[in-house]
Amino acid sequence: MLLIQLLINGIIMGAVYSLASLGFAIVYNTTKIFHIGYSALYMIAPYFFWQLYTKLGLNISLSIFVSIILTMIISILIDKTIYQPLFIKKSSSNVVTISSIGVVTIIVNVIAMIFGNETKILNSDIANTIKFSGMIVTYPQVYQFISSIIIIIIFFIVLKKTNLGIIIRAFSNNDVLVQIMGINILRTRLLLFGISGIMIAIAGLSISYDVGMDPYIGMPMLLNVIVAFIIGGIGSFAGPLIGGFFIGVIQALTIWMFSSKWQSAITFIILIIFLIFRPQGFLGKKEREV
Amino acid sequence: MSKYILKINDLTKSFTSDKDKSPLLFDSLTIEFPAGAVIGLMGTNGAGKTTLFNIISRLVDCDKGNIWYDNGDKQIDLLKLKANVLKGIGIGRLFQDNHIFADMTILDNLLIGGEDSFGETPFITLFKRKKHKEKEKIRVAKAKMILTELFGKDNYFWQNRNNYASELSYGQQRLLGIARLLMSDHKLLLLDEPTAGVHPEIREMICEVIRKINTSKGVSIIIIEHNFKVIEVTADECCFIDQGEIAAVGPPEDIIGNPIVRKKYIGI
Ligand SMILES: Nc1ncnc2c1ncn2[C@@H]1O[C@H](COP(=O)(O)OP(=O)(O)OP(=O)(O)O)[C@@H](O)[C@H]1O
Ligand SMILES: [Mg+2]
Repeated sequence: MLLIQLLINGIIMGAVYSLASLGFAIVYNTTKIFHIGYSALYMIAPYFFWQLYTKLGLNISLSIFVSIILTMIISILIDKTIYQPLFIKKSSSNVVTISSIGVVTIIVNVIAMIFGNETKILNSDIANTIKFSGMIVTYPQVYQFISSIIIIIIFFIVLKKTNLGIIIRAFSNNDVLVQIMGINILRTRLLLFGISGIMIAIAGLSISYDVGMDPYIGMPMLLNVIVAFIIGGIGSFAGPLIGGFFIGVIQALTIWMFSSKWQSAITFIILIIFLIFRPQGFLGKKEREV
Repeated sequence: MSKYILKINDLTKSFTSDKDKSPLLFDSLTIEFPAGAVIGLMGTNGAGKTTLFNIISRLVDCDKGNIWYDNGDKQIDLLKLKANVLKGIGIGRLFQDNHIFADMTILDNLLIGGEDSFGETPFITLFKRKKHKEKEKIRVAKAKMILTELFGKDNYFWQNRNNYASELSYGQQRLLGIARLLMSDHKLLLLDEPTAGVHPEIREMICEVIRKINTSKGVSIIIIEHNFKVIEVTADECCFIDQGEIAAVGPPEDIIGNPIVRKKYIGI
C-alpha cells in the first residue's frame, strides 16, 4: 500500500520534472545553451507570487497569472541581454555557460537580499486531500499534476500541428539552414525563452505552493531537470517526459527502499549509469557515425 | 553596361583581427555577376569560395565592401540585410555539406522550402488551420511533382517521404537539398558543389536541372564546382578565384584552357 502511495507521489512529481525538463529542452535543443539561469526562474516565480498575493493582496488567480508573465519576461530578458549578445559575438559555449551561472548568482543574491534567506510558506492551511481506496492525494498535488500535464499537452499540439512547431523542430535540427529558409532565429529565440519561462514558472509555483520556498530551491531542481533531460535523450522533445517520470518514480522508490535522504544520490547514480551505458538516453538520436 | 544580378564591390575579409599574422582572405574583391546567366566559380580548396557564399547569404560578416543585388526594381546592399530575409527577396542557397533537417521527414524537408512555408506569421496561422491545410495540400502536390520530374515516377524520395531525412545517404541528402530549392521561385541561386559525390548519371541530371531552371525561368545561378565537365556543360561564364583574387574570368573553355587554372588544378 505504501508502495502504491509512493508511486502515485512519484508520478505526480514526475509530471512536474517533465514539464520543467521540457522547458530546459526547448532552450537547449534549439540554441544549445546549457541554461543554468533556468534554475533562478524556478525560484523567482514563487517570490513574485508571494509579493503579489501575500504582500499586495491581489487575488490568487491574478497573482498566479502575473507571476508567470513576469517570470516569462525575465526569461526573455536573460536571452536578450546576455545570451544573444554572446551569440552574436560567437562566444564559446563555455563562456555562455559561465555567464549563465553568473545570472543565477545575481538573481539568487538579489532575492535573498530583498526577501531574506528563510523559508517562506505560501499556503499555510493544512492541505485538503482526496482519499480513494486508502490512497491520499493532496490538492496541491492535484494542481501540480494537472497544470503540468495540460501545459505539456498544449506544447506537443503546438509542436506537431502548427507552423510554430515546424519552426521549433527545424530550428532544433539545423540552426543555419532554418535561417536560409526565412526564419529570424534571434526573434524565435525570444519566443522560445518565453515558452520555457512559462513552463518553469508553473513548475516553481506549483511546487512552492505545496512546500514553500527559499532563494536556494533552484539548484536542486535544476539537477533533477538536467538528469531527466539527459537520460530522456538530448535533442528530443519527448525525452524529457520519459526522463521526468522516470526520475520521479525512481525517487519515490528510493524513499520506499532507503530513505528520502538518498534521493539525490540515487538520481546521480542513475545519471552516471546512463552516461556510461546509454549516453544517448532513452530517446537519443542514433547519429550516423560513419 | 550590362545588367547584373550581383555586384561585389571592394569586399575585404579576414578571419582574424590580427591582419599581420594571417593574410586577408579577400582584399578588395570586386566582381560583377551578369543577370540571367549561369556562372561557374572555380578555385583551389580553401580559395574562399564557400566563404564568399557565406558572406553573400549573410551567415558571415565581412570587414568592408558592398554587395549589390538587383531585385528587379531596385538595388539592395545585401550586407545591410539579415540571413533570414534573403529567401523573401529570391535568393536560394545549396550548402556544400549541410542539406537536411535530420529529424524531420523527407516530405517536411521539402515543404519547408515552399513559399510562405511557415505561414505569414506563425501565431496567426496557428488559428487559421483550415486555410493552412489547403496551402499545405498545394505544397505537397508541388513536392510530388518536383520529385517526379527530377527522379522519375516511382522515386525513392516520394516513396519514403515519411522517413527521417537522416536515413538518406549523403548523395541523397544533397539531392533533397536541390529538390527543396525548386519548391519556391528564386531570382538567384547559390549552389555550392551541387554535384560533388553523386553518381555520374545523377550528375548529368543535376546539370540538366541547372540549365533548365536557368533557361525556363531566367534564374541567375552561381555554381561552385571543381569538376571541369560540369562547368563546361552548365556555365555561360566562369571565374577563377585564387588567393582571394579573381585570377581569370571568361567563357568556360577559356578558363579551363587558361594556363594559371591548369597549373593550379592539374599541375601542368
Ligand atoms: N569560420 C572560419 N573561421 C576561420 N577561418 C575560416 C572560417 N571559414 C573559412 N575559413 C578559412 O577561409 C579559407 C577559405 O575557406 P572556404 O571554405 O571559403 O574555401 P573553399 O574555397 O570553399 O574551399 P573548398 O573548395 O575546399 O570548399 C580557408 O583557409 C578556411 O580555413
Ligand atoms: Mg567550399
